[in-house]
Amino acid sequence: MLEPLYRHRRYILKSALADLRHRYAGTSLGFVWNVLQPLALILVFSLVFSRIVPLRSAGTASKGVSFLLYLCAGYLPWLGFADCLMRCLNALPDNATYLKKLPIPEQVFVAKAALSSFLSMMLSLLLLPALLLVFGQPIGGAILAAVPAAVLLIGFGFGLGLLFGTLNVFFRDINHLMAVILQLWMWCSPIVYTIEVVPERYRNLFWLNPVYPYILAIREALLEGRVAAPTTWLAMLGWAAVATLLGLLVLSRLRHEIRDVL
Amino acid sequence: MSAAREGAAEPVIEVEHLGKCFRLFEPPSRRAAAWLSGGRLGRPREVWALRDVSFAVMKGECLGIIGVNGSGKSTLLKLLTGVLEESVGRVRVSGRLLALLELGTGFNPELTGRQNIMLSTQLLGFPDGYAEARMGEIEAFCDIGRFFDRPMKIYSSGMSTRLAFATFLFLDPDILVVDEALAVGDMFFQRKCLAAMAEILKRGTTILLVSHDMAAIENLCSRVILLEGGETAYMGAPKDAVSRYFARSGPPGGVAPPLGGAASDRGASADVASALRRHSILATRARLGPQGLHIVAARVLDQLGHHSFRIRAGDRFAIQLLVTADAPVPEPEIELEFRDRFDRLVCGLSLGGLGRAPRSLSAGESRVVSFRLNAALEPGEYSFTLAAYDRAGARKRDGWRCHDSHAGLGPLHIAWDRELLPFYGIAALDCAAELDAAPKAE
Repeated sequence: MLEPLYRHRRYILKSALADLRHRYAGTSLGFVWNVLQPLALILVFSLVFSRIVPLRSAGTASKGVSFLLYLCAGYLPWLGFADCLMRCLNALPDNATYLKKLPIPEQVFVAKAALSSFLSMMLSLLLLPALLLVFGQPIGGAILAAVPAAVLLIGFGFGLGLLFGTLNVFFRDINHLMAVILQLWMWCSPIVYTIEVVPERYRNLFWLNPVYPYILAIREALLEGRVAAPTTWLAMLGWAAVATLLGLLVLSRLRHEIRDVL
Repeated sequence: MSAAREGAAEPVIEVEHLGKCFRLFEPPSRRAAAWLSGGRLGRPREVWALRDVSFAVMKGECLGIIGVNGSGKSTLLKLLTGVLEESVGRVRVSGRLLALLELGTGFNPELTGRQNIMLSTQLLGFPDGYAEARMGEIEAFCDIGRFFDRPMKIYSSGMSTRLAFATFLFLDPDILVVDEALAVGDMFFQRKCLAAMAEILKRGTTILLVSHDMAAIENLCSRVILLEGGETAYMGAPKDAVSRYFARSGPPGGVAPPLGGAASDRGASADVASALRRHSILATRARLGPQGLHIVAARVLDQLGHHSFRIRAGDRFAIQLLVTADAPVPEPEIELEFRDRFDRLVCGLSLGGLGRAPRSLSAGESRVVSFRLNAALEPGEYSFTLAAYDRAGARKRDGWRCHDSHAGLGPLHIAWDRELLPFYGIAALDCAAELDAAPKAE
């Protein structure tokens, strides 16, 4: 099931790159828009939560500059994940013209969507080292640990996208349902708030949220300059693998009908 | 060369009892019910797009696939290319098959022609450098000049066709599937494509040609499959398949007795009336107006008396109908109108206008009416209307009352298959030319 991805790797790479280039074609700020949009929201969040409605017992992280960095390190990967999931979810209908005419396996188009999300997420994450420099924070080699964590996060998004994207071909409601779920999901994850807001005995419940280990690992790498604990890596790998396997399983069961329905 | 000849006996495509059934779940929740109950609930509506089709294609052969819209041509091609999965039967394709299904849709309008060729070959999984090596040939064949390096959004549709066709031609497929590709390009490019296809056929490439261009089919194909309602209606020589295609796109087959008798037979002969009923082209029973005069059946006969909707321009043909009076009808009138594709009235004729209307019909009386016509029309498609009227009142100035009307019959295909039409314009006036004797030399 993964062999076609290798066979069509050049198409996946080229078209993901072309996608990135064309998304901002004709604009003068180009890629900056990719960062400006989340940045505006991050500024609003940081203003609201540090000045207007200060979070109770938010610890050291919720003060001024460090809270801004905290928000960036969590919200940008989350946006990347949400973007990846929604694009993968719609990859099959979006590429219906190809699917109906060419015998190219479905997962190629899902992978293309995931890669394109990954590239734009990595570009927006470049904002963090820049901010760290601006605010005079130390930058260590451990920051690079964010890259494999981001890869695994996109892997998880790809798997979920494959799973629900396949079902979405048959039940178009899933697309809209997922948009609602993503809204709720974000507020169930410690992205805008810190984990200290939650009473101590409930904090372990966050491990049930599949996105939590990814956010944790990326944030630790970027802000604290340390590589996440092995259990975190195991959780990341586990969720990504389970989602991808489940996605491939559902796709292989239903793929013979997909092109009849599109 | 010899390798090609040795391979001539091996089939490159084998299709056995192939069938494709689309299972439609409406609304989609029925599918959920079917999944959850293991198929016991929510039974889908099954639509067979293709049923029990079997054939084999040899290396270097050109197989034509023809049929009216919805006869299963595209489904068959999609099964061959592997885009769709068969419901029953088996497909075996050996070698690389390239399909030009609906040309140019796979191209990205933002990219240039050259970049699109690269992207398409990557999409199709060709190795590195494959397209680059052939770029020169492709560019030369397209012959679109500097547009080759401009974004495709500024291309005309003919240019995209050229690009797509050239790309697929030079990628050296073992089997090339050409689906209605020739319809878009101009005449010169079409000729070039036909020549190029003949050339690659000689080199041992197999071609599957799907087209409504019957001249191209007859020219290029060695064998033709005629599909009808998803089944093989005929497979064999191109000429036979094409003539059957035209026969079947008309009314149900059969040969009528030779045209004879006056324009309005007295007392419909039982033979003609029953043949009319059997081969009637009237589908709907759209009755207007009062009960009374009634068009029961109608048919179109070509010069030889065959049922056909395909008439050669300039040939004679007949439209024959059976009318029955349910009640006494004083001055009956039958009208025939031809309209072109733009619904413009080409010609309206009536039995009364031709001086042939009977004075009256008694209750239960049936008559066969034959309109003998000369198809002196510009080739194209025409529809026709049949209507029955009577005079509503006793006085001449009262209007006509419509009893029965069948609109939009046909289409009648006025065809021309030779070099030059004997006339030009929308219709030919009845004309005989004379030349006086050459002046005597003094």
